[in-house]
Amino acid sequence: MQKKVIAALFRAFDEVNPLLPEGRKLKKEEDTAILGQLNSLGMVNLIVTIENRIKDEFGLTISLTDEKALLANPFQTTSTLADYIASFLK
Amino acid sequence: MTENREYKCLLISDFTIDNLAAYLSNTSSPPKITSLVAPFNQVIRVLLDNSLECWQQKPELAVVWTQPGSVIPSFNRIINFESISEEKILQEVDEFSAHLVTISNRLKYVFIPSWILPSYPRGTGILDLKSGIGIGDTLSRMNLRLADNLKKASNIYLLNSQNWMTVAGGDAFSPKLWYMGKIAFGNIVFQAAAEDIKAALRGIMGKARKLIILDLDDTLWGGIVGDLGWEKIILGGHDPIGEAYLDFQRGLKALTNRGVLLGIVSKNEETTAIEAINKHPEMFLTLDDFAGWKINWKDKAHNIIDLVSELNLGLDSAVFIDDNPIERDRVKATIPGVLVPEWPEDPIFYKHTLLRLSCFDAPSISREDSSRTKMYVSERKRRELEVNLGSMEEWLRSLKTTVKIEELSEGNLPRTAQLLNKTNQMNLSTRRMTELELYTWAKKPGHELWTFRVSDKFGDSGLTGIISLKSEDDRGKIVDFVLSCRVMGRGVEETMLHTAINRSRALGFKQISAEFIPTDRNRPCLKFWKKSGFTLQKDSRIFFYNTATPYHLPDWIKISQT
Repeated sequence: MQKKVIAALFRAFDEVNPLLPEGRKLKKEEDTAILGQLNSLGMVNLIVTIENRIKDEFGLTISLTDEKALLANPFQTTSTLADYIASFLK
Repeated sequence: MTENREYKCLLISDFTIDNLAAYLSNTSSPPKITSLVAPFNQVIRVLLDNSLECWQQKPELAVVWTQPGSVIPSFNRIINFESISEEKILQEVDEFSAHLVTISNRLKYVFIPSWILPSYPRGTGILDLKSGIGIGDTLSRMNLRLADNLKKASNIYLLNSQNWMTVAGGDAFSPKLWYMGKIAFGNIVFQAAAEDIKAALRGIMGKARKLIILDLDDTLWGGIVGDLGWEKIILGGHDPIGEAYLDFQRGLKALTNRGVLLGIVSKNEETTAIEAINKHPEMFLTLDDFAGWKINWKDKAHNIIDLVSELNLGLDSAVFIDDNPIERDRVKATIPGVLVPEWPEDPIFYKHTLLRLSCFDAPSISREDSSRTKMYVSERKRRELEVNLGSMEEWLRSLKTTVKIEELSEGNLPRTAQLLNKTNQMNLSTRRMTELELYTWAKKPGHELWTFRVSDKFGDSGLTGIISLKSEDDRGKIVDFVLSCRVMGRGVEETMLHTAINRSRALGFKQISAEFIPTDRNRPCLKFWKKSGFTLQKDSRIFFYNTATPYHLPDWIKISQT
C-alpha cells in the first residue's frame, strides 16, 4: 500500500511543481524532504492537492491539517508522509 | 509582439493570486511573462497610488481580479439579503470602472476577469435571478455594467471567468485553499485563466491562428475514401461516429465565420477526395469553404509549406489537424511554427477538442483591417523565411520502424484476408478471396505468402502488408502486393520487395516478376512500382527484377522474422 501512496504523492508533486520556483521543486524521491522545501503557500497547495489525490485514487477523505496530523508531523519526507496516509488505508 | 520578448504583468487582487502568477510565468506558451504580485488585498489603493513599489517596476500589463463583495461593498448587502438599491450597487461599479480606466492609461493592456461567486452555495433558488433581489441577477447586472463602462477603453479586456469555473467543475473552489491560504480558486481555474490571458495577448498582437489545415481520411470523415469510395465513408447519418464527424465539420464551418481559413493536406488521389467532398450528401463543408488544398502523395510537411505560401500566410498562422500521430510528429518536427494540437483517437471528441483550442482568440477588429495587416506581414515574413525541413530520411530514421515478417498462419489469417479484401490503393492485383480460399492458395506447393506487421516509436500499426509469391518454371512471380495506406511511404514497400527478392534467390529463381492489374483506385501502387527499381516490360504491365542484384533495404527499417 505504501508504494501506491508514494505513486499518488509523486503525481501530486507533478501538479504542484509548476507553482514552485526553480530549485524549490519537489523531487519524486522517497527521501525528499518536504518541510523546509516549501513556503507556507506551497504547503497549502501541496496539502490540498494530496488530499484531493487520496480522495480520487483511494476514496479516502483525509485531513493533513487536523490535530492528529499535527501531532504525527508526517511531512518530514515523502516516505514518512506515505506511511502516515497508508495507516488510514489499512 | 516577438515571442521571445518578456512582458511584466502586475497582478492586482483581493485574494492570494500567486498561483496565477506562477502559471503565467512558468507555462511555456508564448508570450513569456514575468509576474509581479501587488500587495495583498489592497486593490483600490494599488489602483489609485502609482507611487507604490509595484508600479516602479513598470509593468506593461495588469490583471485585476477581484471578488465582487470586496470592491463593490453594497453587493455584500445583497448577499446578506439586506435592502439595497440596484442604483447604489451600479454606482459603485461605475466608480470601480473609473479606477480601472485610470490605470489603463499607464499600461499597455489590462485584463479583468468577470466577477463570480463560489459555486458551493446554491444561490437563492427561485429568487436567484429575480430582478432587484436575486444574487445572480445582481451579479449579472454588475458584470454587464462593468463591460459597458469599459468598452470605450480600447486596451481593457474583460475575460469571462465562468468558462474557467466550468472547466474546473467541482474543483473550481476549495474551502481549504480559501481558509488556509486565501486562495479564492482551485488551481485548474488559475491554469485556465493563464492560458486565456496568454491567448488574449497573442490575439491582441495579431498572433491568432488564421488557417486550419485538415487531413481528410479519419479526420474530416471516417474511413479511407480511396479504399471505401465516397459512398461508404462515415459521415452523418444515424450513427454516433458519423454524427461526430458531421458536428466536427459544423464546428469548422463556424470558425470560418470568425475569419479562420480552412485548407486540406491529404495523402489521397485528388480526384477521389474532391469527388467525396462534392458528392457525399452529408458533407457539411463544401469546396468553397476551403481556401486551398494539396491532395497528393507527397510529404505533408512540404505540402503544408506550399499551401501556406500559396495562401499568402505565415507558417505561424497555421494549425494542422490530423488523426495520424506519425503525420503530426513529422509536421511538428519539421515546421515548428505550425501548431499541431494533440488529437483524440476517438472522433466523438473531435469537435470538443477543436472548440477547446485558444489559438483563434482575437479581439473584435474588422476583418478587412486584419487581413490588410496580415497580408503585409506575411509577405515580408515569406521573403525572410528559410525553412530547414531536415531530410526525409532523418525523420524516417527517427521513427525506429520495425517490420515483423510472418508466414500466413491460422492465427493471422482473418486479418490477412481482411486486409487483402479491403485495400484498394496499394494493391497490385486486387484479388478478393475468402479466408479459406486464401489459406488454400497459400499452402499449395510453389506458393508462399508473408505478412508484415509494422510498429514504430508511436506504437503498433498491426498487420498492414501482404506479399505473395508463386513459382512459374524457374522464375518467381509476385502475385499480391498489398499495403495499408496508414504505413505507405515509410520504406515498408521496399522492405516487402527486399523480402520477396531474397526469398526468390533462396529458392533459386534468377528473375522475379510482378503484373500490375489496374483498377480505378490502385494508381498509387503503379506509381510506386514505376519507381521501385523493377524494370517495366515494354508494352505490358509486367515488372521484372534480376535477383542476382541485391534489393536495397532502407537502413531505418529493422526486420524481425518469425
